[in-house]
Amino acid sequence: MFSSEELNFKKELNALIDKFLPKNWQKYPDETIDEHWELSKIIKKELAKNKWIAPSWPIEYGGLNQEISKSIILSETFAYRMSPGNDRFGVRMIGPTLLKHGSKFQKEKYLKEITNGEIQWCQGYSEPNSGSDLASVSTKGEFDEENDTITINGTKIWTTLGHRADRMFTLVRTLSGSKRHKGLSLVLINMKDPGVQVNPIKNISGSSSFNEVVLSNVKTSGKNIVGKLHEGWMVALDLLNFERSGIDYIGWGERCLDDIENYCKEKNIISRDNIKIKLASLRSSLESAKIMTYKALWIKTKDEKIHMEPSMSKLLATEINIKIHDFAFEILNKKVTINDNNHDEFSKRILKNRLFFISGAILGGTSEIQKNIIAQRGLGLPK
Amino acid sequence: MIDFELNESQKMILSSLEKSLSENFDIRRENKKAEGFEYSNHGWEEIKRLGFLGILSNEENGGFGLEFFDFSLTLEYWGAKLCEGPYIENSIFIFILEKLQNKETNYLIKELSSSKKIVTSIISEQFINNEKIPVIHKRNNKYCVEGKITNLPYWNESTEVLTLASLNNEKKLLMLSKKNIDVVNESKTLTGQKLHEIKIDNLEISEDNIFKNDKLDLIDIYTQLFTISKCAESVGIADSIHKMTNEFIKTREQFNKPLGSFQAIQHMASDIYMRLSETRELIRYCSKLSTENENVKKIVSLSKIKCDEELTKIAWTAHQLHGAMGFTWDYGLHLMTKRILLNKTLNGDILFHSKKLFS
Repeated sequence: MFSSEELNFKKELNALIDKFLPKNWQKYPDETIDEHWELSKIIKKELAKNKWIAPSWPIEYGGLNQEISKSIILSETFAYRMSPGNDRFGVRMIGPTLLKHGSKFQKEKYLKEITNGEIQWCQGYSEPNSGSDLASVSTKGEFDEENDTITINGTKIWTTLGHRADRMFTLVRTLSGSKRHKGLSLVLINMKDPGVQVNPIKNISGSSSFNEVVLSNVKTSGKNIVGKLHEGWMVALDLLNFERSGIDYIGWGERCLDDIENYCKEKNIISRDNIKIKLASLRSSLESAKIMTYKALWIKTKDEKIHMEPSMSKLLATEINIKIHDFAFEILNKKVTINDNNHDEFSKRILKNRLFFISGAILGGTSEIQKNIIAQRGLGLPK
Repeated sequence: MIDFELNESQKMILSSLEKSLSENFDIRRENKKAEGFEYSNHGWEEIKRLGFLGILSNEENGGFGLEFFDFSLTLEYWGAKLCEGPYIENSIFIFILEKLQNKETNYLIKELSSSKKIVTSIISEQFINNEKIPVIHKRNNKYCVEGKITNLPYWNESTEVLTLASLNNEKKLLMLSKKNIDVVNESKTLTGQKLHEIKIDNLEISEDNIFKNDKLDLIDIYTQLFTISKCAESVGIADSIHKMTNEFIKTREQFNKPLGSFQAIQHMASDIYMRLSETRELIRYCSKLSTENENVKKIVSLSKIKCDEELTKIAWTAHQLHGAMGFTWDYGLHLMTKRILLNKTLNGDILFHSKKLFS
């Protein structure tokens, strides 16, 4: 799948990660933890020095203008190593969206910030009463044409890394009285601006990775509207497709599968036929999900159409990642659930990750929403 | 370098193949044949006429000179139209002969490419199931072979039989002319395909009929390529099932609405398409790998496992979506389901491939 030059890039990346990641690192990257956050900043800076943060972006925005393959390798390697420093919100979501829909000003300013490794973005899509039904957003954005400013009021929720973020891309209703997909705009705001209040929410795994973000009279320039005013829905959908094509779940799943396979070998339970069958079946599904994710990422570079591959790859990748962690949970059994001397770092990781990864099948559009998209937009079934 | 695009030549070949295989394809006729236990070899004459038997032989040997991946793509169309005939067996043998790079076998490649000679075989099953294979004896500088081969497909379409045979306790590839072989028994698969049991009775053969290479494990290569080929064929069948089902739920109305407008039905249809897509991409990726690639054995096994797990699910889900219609003989969905079930039983089951992965 990859050329020798691309595989060499992977080696170099691993060497870079080795320089900063403590030996025997067993933790899933959780930037809510200070140690991980500091590591993330250091590693991003190091990546930036090599222009590796977004190697497929144009040179003028800090990329290397290279094939999408290198960006895929970067994300996959970081996920496999469970290393902090992989910028999902900037590089994967808002960056490609700005490359496609952004103004010259937005590209110059925000893309360069991302490739410098300085800025953390977060996503302001969901609202307390607007989850899967994203088109029902009610956060208001009043546009003042004279002063070219937009004033935002409302509440966003499930905002991952909101408490760490410098900037947010958010979907707001700018046309008063508009309904559903019409009258929405995608707006970029500064999280340090007056009126932004971030309230952490503790999740099932015990960390506070996501937040509620209350926006009270937050003002931003009209220059920060991505695409046209009131016509942000398609821009927002494009961004969602970028979000859904992530390779991270594959990397996390592969790491867990390799580790649990090694564990089965060490404990000699791999001699059991049922264990062999289960491991082989998981590996088979992981490989096919990986190729589907490569395809989803590749297809975005080919044309402007919205395809169903991102939805399929998101479903397959999150599903197999969960299945692998379920199997690891089953194998480790009480080592995972009872906090005694057997509760080692590996067991702790499996517990935390299995609990955390239920979010994969929910965020960015639940698995059921993805199936609706595949059926209606892909297979042409009637609504 | 990631690239999922088919090139213009591939698109052209597939388009011409699809056109030819579709022209004479009628699921009702196939269904009628199956009902009367009548044998079908739809597509076989077209494949021969279009010269596809030479798809893997070099141009100087009268073929198209294409890659195994191109061949595998044609198998998706071959499977989609429920075609029958020794297309896979013949093509893989040509691929192996080309690998031998032996000038003396070029004549054979030419004959196989032009359908003057056609081989059938059951090598993969002989190898995987460790079946009792014919034995070659060397007496007075002459080679003689004796033994039995069971469940051999496409006897009527072929002129030669390619088999495993044991020579000094080593497994070899052996090609025999049909002329001097006796059929001792005949059976049928669940899709109506005829299988033959043949007996080879002290048949004198030339050393040229034994194919070997010190550097290449020909039997292993044949088995891997055959396995992935049958997977590609099954993907084609599953694609037909998907298309047929999607059409049905778009047009069939219940409660004054198309079936396909109900979310529960949409989710099942999405599952079918998603399972099909991931299986197809894995098989295509595997077909692109060179037989020398260090990962090829592993990916072949993973592909077969994927096919076994997903394609039958696709078929059964399609039956559920068709309701009673799909339960009938008349509708024809059963033919596709049965063909997928048949292919599932070939080339080793999930346990076999799981053991291979961890051996």
